[in-house]
Amino acid sequence: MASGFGESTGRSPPSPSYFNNNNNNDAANFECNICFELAQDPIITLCGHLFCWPCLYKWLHFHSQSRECPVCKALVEEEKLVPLYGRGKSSTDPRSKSIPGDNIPHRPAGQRPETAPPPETNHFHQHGFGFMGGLGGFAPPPMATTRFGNFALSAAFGGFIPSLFNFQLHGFHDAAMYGGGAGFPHGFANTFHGVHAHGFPLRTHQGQQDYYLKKLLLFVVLCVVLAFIWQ
Amino acid sequence: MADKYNLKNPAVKRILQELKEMNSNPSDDFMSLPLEENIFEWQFAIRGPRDTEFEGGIYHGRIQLPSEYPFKPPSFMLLTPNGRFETQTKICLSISNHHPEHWQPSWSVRTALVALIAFMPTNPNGALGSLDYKKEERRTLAVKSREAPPKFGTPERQKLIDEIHEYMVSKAPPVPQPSASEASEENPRNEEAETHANSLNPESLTAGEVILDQEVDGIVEEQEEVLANANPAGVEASREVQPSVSRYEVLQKSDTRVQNPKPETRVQKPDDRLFTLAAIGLTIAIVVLLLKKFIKSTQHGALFSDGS
Repeated sequence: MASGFGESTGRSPPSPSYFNNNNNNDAANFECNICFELAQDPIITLCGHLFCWPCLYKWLHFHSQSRECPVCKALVEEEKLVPLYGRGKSSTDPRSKSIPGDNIPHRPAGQRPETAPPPETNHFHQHGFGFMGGLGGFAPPPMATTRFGNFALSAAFGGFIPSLFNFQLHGFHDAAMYGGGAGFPHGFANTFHGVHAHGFPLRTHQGQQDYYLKKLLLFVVLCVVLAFIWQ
Repeated sequence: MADKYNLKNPAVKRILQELKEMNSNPSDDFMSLPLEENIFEWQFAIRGPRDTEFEGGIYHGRIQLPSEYPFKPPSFMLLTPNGRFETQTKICLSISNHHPEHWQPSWSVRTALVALIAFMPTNPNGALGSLDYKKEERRTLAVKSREAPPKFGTPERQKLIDEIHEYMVSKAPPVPQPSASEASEENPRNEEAETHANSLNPESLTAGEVILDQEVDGIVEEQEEVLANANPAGVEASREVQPSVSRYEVLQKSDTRVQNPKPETRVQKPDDRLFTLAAIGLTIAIVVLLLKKFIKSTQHGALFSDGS
């Protein structure tokens, strides 16, 4: 009896087994349900069954008559398959494929949801708008024409510009608050992140503008001084 | 020995994998081995299901695996007279090549043998290759099946059959004596299902058990489908239900890309507008100052002319 069993065991072809029982048990969780080997180009159906992409492709396109899951007969839609990307390098060499002769297309790509919204950075933007408000303060003086009229007119004009800037700031702040809403505001939130990402270049841009404006302001002041001397 | 087989053939690799698993987890209910010269030809033996007239019987058979295995189903042929399936004839089952549309690639020789054991006490309903002997005759055949294995094929195949028979005789308990009370027709099926599930538990690994349970359940459903004509309607109904599963809509990347540029443009506009307004204001101031200077020059000229 025992000898018979031993003989039957000896008859089986030797297989390279580098794992013990525990490893074999764990490895079975990641084996293809069709070829019973570690899944190559692993892909998962919506019903949760794991296959090699070549094995599943051959079943769906050449053998199955109703495009059903090879395990549970659930309907399989190729646009709903989810590939598994592990740490292993994806083999791009066709010769390394286990089925070299077949023309099997690439595994369907995963459906990547949109990027998560970043944390809000109101502090930076408020500071930026404060700077713009300060810049607005330089505008009224050059508008002077007469001494008495100068004071009244500059006061009125100065009052107008800050209100304009306040309106802008308030509007932007409101838009930022709606960042977590529906699709379009969400896209706006993404752009919000973009603006934040380019904070430094934006500051440089403002610096250049500021330098140019200051230069122009000095020129205007010089003209005013000359006009006064002439008078 | 593995060098003899073409390891690049996916069917051969799959069969070797199955053989490895069956050797690492042997079962008391069945045993199967491939021929040495052709791995697509298998000999098997199954034990008669418990609590039935087949209990204690050892039934030999032959399995032919197709070259497209596991995408195509195998064919099964019983060699020992059993009273349920004809001998030397390919039997018609949902797991055999008579119904390739019902085959599942995740099934294997192991699951097929488990299903075959479960099919033994079922009603043949006139299926191809089926017989419907009386219980007493089946029990007689079961006793007879233990005495000697069937004679079939080449000496090498016969050697394999004898080897399998020795193993099964040592594992399967003898045919029990018929009891006075006989279970009803429905009860044996339930008991068989439980018995098979219990018998497999201690032998298979946890993962294997899970997989086998799924596969066995699938096969049992197939059995119901084969037996009752009403079931096909049920199957169609279930298939109709499947497409109605709610579909989750995902925002596509192209849409996201289209949406992205617009907000950027809007964000940039206020800054540009601000600077534009500032520049315009400064220009107007310069023009005003120039006009003022011109006016003063005109007055000075007038004063000079008055003096002359």
